[in-house]
Amino acid sequence: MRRGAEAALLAGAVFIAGLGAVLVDFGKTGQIGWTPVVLLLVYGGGLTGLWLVVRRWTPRTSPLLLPPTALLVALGLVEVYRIDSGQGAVHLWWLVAAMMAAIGILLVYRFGVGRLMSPCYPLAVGGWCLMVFPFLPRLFWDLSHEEIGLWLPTGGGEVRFLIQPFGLGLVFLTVGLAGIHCRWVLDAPAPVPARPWLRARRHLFLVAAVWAGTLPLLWATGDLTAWVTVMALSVSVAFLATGENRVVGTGLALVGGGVLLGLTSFRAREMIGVWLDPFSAGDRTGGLGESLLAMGSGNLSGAGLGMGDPGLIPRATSEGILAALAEELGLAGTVAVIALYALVVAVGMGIALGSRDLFCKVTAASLTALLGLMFLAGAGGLQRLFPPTGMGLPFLAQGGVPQLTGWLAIGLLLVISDQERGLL
Amino acid sequence: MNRPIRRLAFLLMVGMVVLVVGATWHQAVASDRYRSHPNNRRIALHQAGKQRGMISTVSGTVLALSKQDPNIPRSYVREYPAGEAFASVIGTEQSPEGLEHVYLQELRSRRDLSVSDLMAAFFGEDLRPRGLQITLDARLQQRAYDSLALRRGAVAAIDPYDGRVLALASSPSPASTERAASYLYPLGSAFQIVTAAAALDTGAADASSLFEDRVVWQIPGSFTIVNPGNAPCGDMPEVSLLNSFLRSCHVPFAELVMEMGAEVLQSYATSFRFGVETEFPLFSPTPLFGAEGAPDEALAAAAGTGRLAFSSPLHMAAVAAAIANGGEMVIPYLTAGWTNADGEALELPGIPPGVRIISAETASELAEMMERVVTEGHGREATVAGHRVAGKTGTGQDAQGRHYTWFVGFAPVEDPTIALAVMIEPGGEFGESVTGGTAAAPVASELLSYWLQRSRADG
Repeated sequence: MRRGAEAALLAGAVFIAGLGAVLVDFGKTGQIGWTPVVLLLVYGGGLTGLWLVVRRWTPRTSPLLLPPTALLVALGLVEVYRIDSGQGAVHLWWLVAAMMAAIGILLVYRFGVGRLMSPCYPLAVGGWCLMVFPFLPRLFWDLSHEEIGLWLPTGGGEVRFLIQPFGLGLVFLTVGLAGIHCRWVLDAPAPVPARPWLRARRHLFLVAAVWAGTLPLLWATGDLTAWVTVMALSVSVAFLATGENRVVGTGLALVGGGVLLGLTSFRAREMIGVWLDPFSAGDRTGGLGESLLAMGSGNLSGAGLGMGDPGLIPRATSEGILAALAEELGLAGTVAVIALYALVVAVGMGIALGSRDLFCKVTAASLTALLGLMFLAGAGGLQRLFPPTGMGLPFLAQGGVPQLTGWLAIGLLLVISDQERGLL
Repeated sequence: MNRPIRRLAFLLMVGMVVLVVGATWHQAVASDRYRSHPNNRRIALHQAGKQRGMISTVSGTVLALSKQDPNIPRSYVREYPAGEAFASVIGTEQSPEGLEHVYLQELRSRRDLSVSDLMAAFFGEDLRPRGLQITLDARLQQRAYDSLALRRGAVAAIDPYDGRVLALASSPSPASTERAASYLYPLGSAFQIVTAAAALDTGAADASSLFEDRVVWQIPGSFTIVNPGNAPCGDMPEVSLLNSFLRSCHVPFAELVMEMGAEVLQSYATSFRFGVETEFPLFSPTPLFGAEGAPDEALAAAAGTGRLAFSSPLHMAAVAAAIANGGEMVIPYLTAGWTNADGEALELPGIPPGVRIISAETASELAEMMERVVTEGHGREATVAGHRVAGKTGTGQDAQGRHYTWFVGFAPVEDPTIALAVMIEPGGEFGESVTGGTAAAPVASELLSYWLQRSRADG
C-alpha cells in the first residue's frame, strides 16, 4: 500500500519533468519536439527500475525518501535541459548512471550495511585523495582562467569540459569517517577513562587530521565555504558517533583557525572580495552578481520556464542552477526546492533516529548532513550569506558528480532504512 | 545516542529556514532593486522589440519614439529622428548611458503580464508606456552641436533664472561620449570668476584694487606661479584686479587669495557647488576645487592658475547663471515632466529654488567685469554685434600639459536669457597655442548670436 503511494508520487515527479520539458520546448521555440517523450521514457524508466528493485529486494525501505528526491532531480533536469539542451541529454544519461549506482548499493548492501565499516580507512583515504589531490598542482602552478574554484578542466582542444570530483570524494570521506569513529567508539574499553579529556581524544585527532589534510584544498581553491562545509561535516560525524560536546567546541576553534589560515591565500581573498562586492568589475569568478540579479528578477512567480535569461548567469547549469530556477520559477520555486531539501533531510534524519545499529545511525545521519550542508552552502553562497562556493548542488546541478553524490547517499539511506526497519 | 542526531537535524532545519528568509529577501523585498540594477541586462534585453515611451522636448520635437515594425507583427523598432546632435543625451536602447538607459524602467511598457502589473491594471492603472519631456531647446541643441563642428568639445547652456537646460552638446557624436555633464575638465582661469566673486562679495578687493605686477611669483614655501605667456600683466608696476581678470593673469589672483585668506575662497567655492554633489539624470561627477588638506598657498596658486579646479561645462553654465541672475545659484534640470501615452502631463518635477550665494551688487559688478572681458579683454572673439555679452575665458592644463579651453558667460547683460559654458578639448586645429579666447569664444559667439537674434525675432 505504501509502495503504491510512493509509486504514484514518483509518477507525479516524472510527469512534472515531462511537463517541464514541454513548457521549455514551447517557451523556447514555440513547438513541441520529441525530447519530452525521450525524457519521460528515460527518467521514468530509471525511476521505475529503482522502484522495482526496492519493491522486490528491499521492501522495508522508507517510502518517503524517493519522492522528494525524484522531484528535486526532475526540477534540476528540466532546468538544465532548458539552459542547454545538449548538456541536458548528457545530464540525463549521467542521472541514469547515478540511479544505477544507487540500485547497485541496494543490491550489494541489502545483506548488511555493516560490511561498509570494514573498508573505512581506505574509503576515508580514497575520498580525501579524490577531494584534494587534483588541486595540489595549483599550489605550485599559475591558474589559467578556467582553473578557479572547485572545477578541473579536462580533455584538450575542442572537447574541454570541467569536472568536479569533490562531491564524490566527500561521500567516500563521510562514510569512511563514520566507520572509523564508530569502530573506535565500539572498540573502546568498557570502563571509560577517568579523566574526561581522554575520552574523545582519538576522535579529536581524527577531526584535526581532516582539518590538516584539507587545508591544501582551501589554499589551492580559495573556496572557504566548501572547506568549512567539509569541516562541519567532519565535526558532525565525530559528534554523532561520540556525542561529546567537546568535539564541537574543538571543531569550531579549528574551523576558525583554518579560515584565518585560508585568508593567506590570494584565491580566498579574491572570493571574499567578490562576496563583499559582487558587482565589482573584473570579477573573474563570475557568478555571484549575476546570480543575485537573476534571483531578484525572478520575483514572486518567476519569468516562467524557458522565459528567463539564465544565459546571463555564468555556469548556470552547475553552481548557478538554483539562481536559474529562482529566476524562472520565482520565490515559489525557490521555496519549493528548499522545502524538498528540508523534506529529504527530515526523512534522512528520521531514518537515522529509527536505526538501532550505531554505524547505521551515524552513517545515515552523516549522509543526510552531507546533503543538507552541501545545499545550505551552495544556496547560501548564492544568497550572499557566505562567500560564493563552486560546489555543485546534489540532485540539481548538471554533471555526473553531483548526481552520483546525491544518489549514492540516497542508495545508502534506502538500504539502511530497509535493514533497520525504519520507523518512517 | 539520538541526542546528537536531533541537534544536528535541528541546526539543518534552522539553516533551511534562514534560506527561505534569504530567498524572500532577494526575490521579494529587494527584487525591485535587482531588477533595476544598472548591471542587470535583462531589462535592455527584454525591451528589444517592445514599445517604449516617447522622448520629446517641451516644445514637441520628437527625440526618440517606438514605431510598429512593418515586418514583425506586434513588434516595435526604436527611432531617433532628431539625429546625432542629441545622441549623447538620449543614448540608445542598448547603450549604457543616456536618458534611454537612465529611464529604462520608467519608459517601458508595463504590459508584460507580470503579476504585479496585472494587479495594477485590475485597479485601473494605465500600463501604456509613459512619455518623457526634456527641457532642451531642439534648435539651440542642433546649433550647439553644429558649431562645435566635429572638434572634441562640449557646450552646456541653461536658463539663468530657473536652471532648465537649453543645450547639452558633445562632439563628436557617438552616444557613449556625453561630456557636457559627465566629465570634469581643468578650469584654468575660468575659475577666476569664483575668486573674483569672493573678493568682491567680502569686500577684500574691488575692480580697481591694485596688485604688484610680477611675471613670476614664488609663493613663500610653495609653488612658483608664472603669468601666461611669461609676460607682465600691464605696463605699470601695479595692475588692477579688473585688468588681471580681463587678461587672465595668474599672479595677482594668487596675491589676492593670500591677502583674503584661502578659507574664504574655499567657502565661496563650496557655495558655487564645488565639492557639492548635485542630482542630475545623466551621470554628473561632483566638481572639485582644492585637495584634501591642501595648504593655503596651494589654494592661492589654484585660484590664480586654476589648477586643482575641475568642473563640467554644465556646472560652469550654472556658475555663469549665478552672476547673470543677480547672485543665485540654480540647479540645472533636464527632465521637464512625464506624460501619459495620450500626451497629457502627469507630473512636474519640483524645481528647487535658486540659493543666494553672493549679493546682487557683487553680481552686477562682476557682470560688468565679465562684459569688459568680451569688449576689451581676452574674450573679444565672443562678441555679438548689437548685443551685450559677458564672459570669462580660461585655459586649463591636465597632467600631460594638454590645454582645455573655456568660455563661460551669459547674454544679454541687461536682461540675461542664457548662460553657457563652451569647452574645447586639446588636439584640434589650434595645436598647443590654443587659449579660451581663440578656441572656445568663437563657438560661444556663434551660439549666442543665433540665440539673441532668434529671441529678437520671436519678440
